[in-house]
Amino acid sequence: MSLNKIIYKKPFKIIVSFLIIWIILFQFIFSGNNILPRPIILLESFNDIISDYQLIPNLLYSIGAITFGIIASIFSVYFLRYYLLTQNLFSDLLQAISKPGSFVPIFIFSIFLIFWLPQSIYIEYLFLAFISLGYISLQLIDINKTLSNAYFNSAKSLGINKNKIVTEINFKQILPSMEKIILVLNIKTWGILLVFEFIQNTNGLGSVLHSSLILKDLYSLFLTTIVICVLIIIFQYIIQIVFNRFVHWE
Amino acid sequence: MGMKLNNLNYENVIKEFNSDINCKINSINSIVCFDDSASKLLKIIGRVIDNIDGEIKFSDEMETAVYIPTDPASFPWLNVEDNIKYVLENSTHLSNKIENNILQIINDVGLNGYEKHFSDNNSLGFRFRISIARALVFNSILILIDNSFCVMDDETKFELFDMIKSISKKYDVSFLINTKNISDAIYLSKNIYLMKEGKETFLDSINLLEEWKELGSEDRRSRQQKIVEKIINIFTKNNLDNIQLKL
Repeated sequence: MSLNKIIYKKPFKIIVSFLIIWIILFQFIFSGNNILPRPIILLESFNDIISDYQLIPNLLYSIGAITFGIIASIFSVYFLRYYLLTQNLFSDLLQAISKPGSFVPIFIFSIFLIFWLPQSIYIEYLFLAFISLGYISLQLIDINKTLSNAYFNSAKSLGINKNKIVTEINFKQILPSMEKIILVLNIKTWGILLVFEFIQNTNGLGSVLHSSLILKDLYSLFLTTIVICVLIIIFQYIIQIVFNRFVHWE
Repeated sequence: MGMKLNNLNYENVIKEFNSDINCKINSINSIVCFDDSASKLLKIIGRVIDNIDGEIKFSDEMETAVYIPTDPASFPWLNVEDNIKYVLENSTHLSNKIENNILQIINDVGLNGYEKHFSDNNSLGFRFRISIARALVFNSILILIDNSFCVMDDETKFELFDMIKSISKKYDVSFLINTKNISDAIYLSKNIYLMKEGKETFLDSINLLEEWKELGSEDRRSRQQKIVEKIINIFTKNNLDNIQLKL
């Protein structure tokens, strides 16, 4: 099994292995250092970090943003699937709009949004939903171009109308590929979310990282990072469970 | 039942194509073709390709020709029974749809006991049987099979050939099969049409019943060999040298 597959299939084992190595190295060997915190001190200051940085509310805020972004974009794609999977002005426009994304980093857009609406809590949710929608839609359009014509030809000959072929047959043909798209989207949205919250510095785990950096609090920085990694892995698991449950075909 | 093709044009593959195809009830007919033209022709007859020049005339009321593509086309997200029901509920072609007994059709295509079974992606024979069952839910039909057997192993293929023969008799259905394999065409068909891209009609047609009568004194293997040679000669005369025989 390649290293990539091990990391992809057994992420919790990787995290646990990392933690064991961290405990051995930084508790017993490099005990006086400023690279990573000492495990025993981190354990003792655990409650303080949670209360001082309001870790739980910030954590829930970030989870809410990611969940809303992904779910809203999936529902939007479902309702827009006919326009995405056929050649029309909407899909052409979407592809044209995405072109600047290849040379303008998404973070630039987030900086502008924060500049215009510095205190808004909704803008982050909407921004993530919009970015997720754009990503899934473009991937869907790309996959649609590579689909085998067999289902389409057969359905057309059987007298099924174009609307049903596109919305029910082509869309279901694409669904298995959506799992990989959403797994990648999960990681991408976490990256965008953290940067957004880091710059905005009002709510969310990104703002906790910001405060930790300003206060040079290595313990909080480390704990927040571990929490983020575990959350990303949990989200990956949930996505895989949902797809295994509802999409049984290849 | 017959079919008249008048001045069909599609891209540069089919040009001014005129021919009569004799698809009598219960008959299995093949088109042997080594390029894309027969596949395109089947798609035109099966209404997969529309907006073409020319016309297709059926000699009787039967106007439903169902096309089965090379790659498996049954829906893997539906079980066997639902695959058939979906077609029945969503087809717009026919106004006089007849709801045949779905379970009987499933039984006749050899899927008895698998009504609620979801097909595996790689189970080509299973998925082909579903495609045949979906085509059978209409009353009178011509089933067009586009090179579907080329991707199957011999055991599966010959099981399906037997199924096609029994289905053809039981349901009064005609088959028109596009194949590159001359032996398959001889094994299955009553009539074999030879086709080449850009020609205005079929290169030739061979009525196998008549051929068998002419070669009556010879054994089966040598009769088959002579038909194969005849077909190769016709293609060779028409400047097609790269015939890949699979005997």
